[in-house]
Amino acid sequence: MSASVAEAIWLGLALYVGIGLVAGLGTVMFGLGRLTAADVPVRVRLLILPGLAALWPFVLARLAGLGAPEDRA
Amino acid sequence: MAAGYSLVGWNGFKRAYDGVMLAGLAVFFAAHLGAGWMSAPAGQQPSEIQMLIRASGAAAFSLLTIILCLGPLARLTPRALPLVYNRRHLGVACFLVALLHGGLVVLWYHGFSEMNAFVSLLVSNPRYDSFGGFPFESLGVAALLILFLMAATSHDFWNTVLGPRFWKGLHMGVYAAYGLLVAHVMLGAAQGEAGFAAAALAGVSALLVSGLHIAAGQREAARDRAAAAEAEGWLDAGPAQEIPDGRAVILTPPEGERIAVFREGAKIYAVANACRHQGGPLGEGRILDGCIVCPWHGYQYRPEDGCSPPPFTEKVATFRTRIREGRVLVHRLAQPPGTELAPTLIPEVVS
Amino acid sequence: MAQEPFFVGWQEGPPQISRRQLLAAGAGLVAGSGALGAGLGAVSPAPGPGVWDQGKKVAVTGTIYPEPYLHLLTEDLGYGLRPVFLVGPGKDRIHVRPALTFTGAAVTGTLIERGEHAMMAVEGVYPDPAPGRVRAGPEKDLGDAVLTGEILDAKCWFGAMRPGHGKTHKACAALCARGGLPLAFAETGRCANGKAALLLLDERGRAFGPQIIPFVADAVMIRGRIFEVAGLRQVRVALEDVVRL
Repeated sequence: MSASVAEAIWLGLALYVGIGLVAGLGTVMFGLGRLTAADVPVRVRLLILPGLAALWPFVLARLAGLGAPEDRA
Repeated sequence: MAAGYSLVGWNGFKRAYDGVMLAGLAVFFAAHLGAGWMSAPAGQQPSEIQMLIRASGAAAFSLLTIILCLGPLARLTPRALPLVYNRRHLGVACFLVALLHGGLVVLWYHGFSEMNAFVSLLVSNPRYDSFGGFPFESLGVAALLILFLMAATSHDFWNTVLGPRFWKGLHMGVYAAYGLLVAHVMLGAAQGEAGFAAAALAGVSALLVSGLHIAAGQREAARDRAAAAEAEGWLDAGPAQEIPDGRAVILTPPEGERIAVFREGAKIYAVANACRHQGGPLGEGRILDGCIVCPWHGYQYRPEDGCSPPPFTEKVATFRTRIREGRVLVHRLAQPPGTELAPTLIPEVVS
Repeated sequence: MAQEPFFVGWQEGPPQISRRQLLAAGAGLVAGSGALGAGLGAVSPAPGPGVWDQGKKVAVTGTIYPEPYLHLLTEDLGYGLRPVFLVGPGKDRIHVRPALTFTGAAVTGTLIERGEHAMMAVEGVYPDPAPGRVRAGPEKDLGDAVLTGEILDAKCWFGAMRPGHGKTHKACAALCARGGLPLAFAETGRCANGKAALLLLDERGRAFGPQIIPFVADAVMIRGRIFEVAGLRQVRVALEDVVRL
């Protein structure tokens, strides 16, 4: 693996996580009501932020009403 | 889950569980570092950071091995069920120890250079075309990313948002992570001097994990082979009196998911066997205080309609039941989750 | 059967019989962790006698030569004439003003030593107020040799890292090699225990370029010619005579 390929991999990852952090912060502040009816305290919001940053495409899909509602009881 | 979330639903058992876990980790680190220091000739001790790298790598790998053994162990003996209950705390601890290992490696082996340490992680050993010389660090990075994803989504919030199937699928990635870590150890530490210890740890651990999974899998497969007899859509669950009070027998239909057939006094109920939380076997649970309780994490369902008691919102499918000549019959067609069905009464018990 | 204890995690405390089992399991797990940790720690190989005392600042005088690797030729260390390789605090080479080379100089920093091998993490290089050029003298040709062992980055093996050899150290060694730090060769079995290594040079006595990087830290056989210069043995080998085992 060349240094340029490695740089591209890390840059891509950083970009993905960067977008995820912005999307995640937006979700914990304004979007949780669309994901769950349950109350989500601030400490739990902080706990789920890394996951929101990592899985932001799935979370955005859920926020947009897409996804697997059959799984949701 | 419709009630409010909490950071951790602490109780006495969880505290004790985490206490044992932290004590185990502390003792492991102390013993590893102490033995490593004392076994080296005077003045020839390894550097402290490298000792910590070794200890954290061994601890993370051993912890993941234990985690992966708990699932099949609980299938083989109910005595291991309590160990499954708080397994996600083990998983998060495993990720944190692995992160410590990875962070120290990046700092120590890839830092102190003009080259970016993370770039160095992927390019310093260029032998991607070799088996024996493969850059094992890349395997560790991939495993750490999987462990991160699992730790980051370990809260029940994620089970609700992603759905139990997606969540379970995501967390099955632990097997990929473990495979990567076995290769990471075999192509890394196991190839150095005294590498036999690392090779033995990885080899024996992998055999243990595989062996337990095969044994548990065979037991499940045997249960599946003993599919219930079916006549006109009705499955035979056996004599009603043989179902222990407050417990269930598990039916395996010729097609479809397993069914848990419970007896509570004179009443017979049938619900889907898989818990909505993490797929735990409800049929191995009990009826306590009028609710079916999952043996894995204690999720509750009312036997008559498969609904969790308020404020919770999980629902499992229910099945029609009847009794003919003292035998319990269950119709193979599942009712929509949450459908209330009247229990079938056992005549002898009623009379 | 129905009277068997049933564990419900959210209940306060498990049933009595399980409590005993769980206490035993917990104690067993903690004790097992200790035994496993001690066992794995005890079999970890000792790294060898290299030392880098970063708290002990020294000044060494001699003559700086830029080739094959930047070094200070000195008699200050008590082993007679010896080269002290000059490196930075990290994994990259340092550069010394040409005016300070081939003449008397004083170098300050910390010493990295293994046996009679020495290297210095340099903090400052100054003109020697009483210059006297130290010369290496004629090189001794010790003849051809075929050796098996490992190509090491000398800084780590001398004591910057303990251990500083083997597959787990390969990436670091490659980084040091890429950064222009001296490379050495230790015969199999001497990586951890040995006090002596050979300076590794190409067949013309120059430092290798990046083409040697894929071979560092691997088990290799080399066929080359051994020389001794200023008390330090070197092996000069063509790249095509480095064969991975």
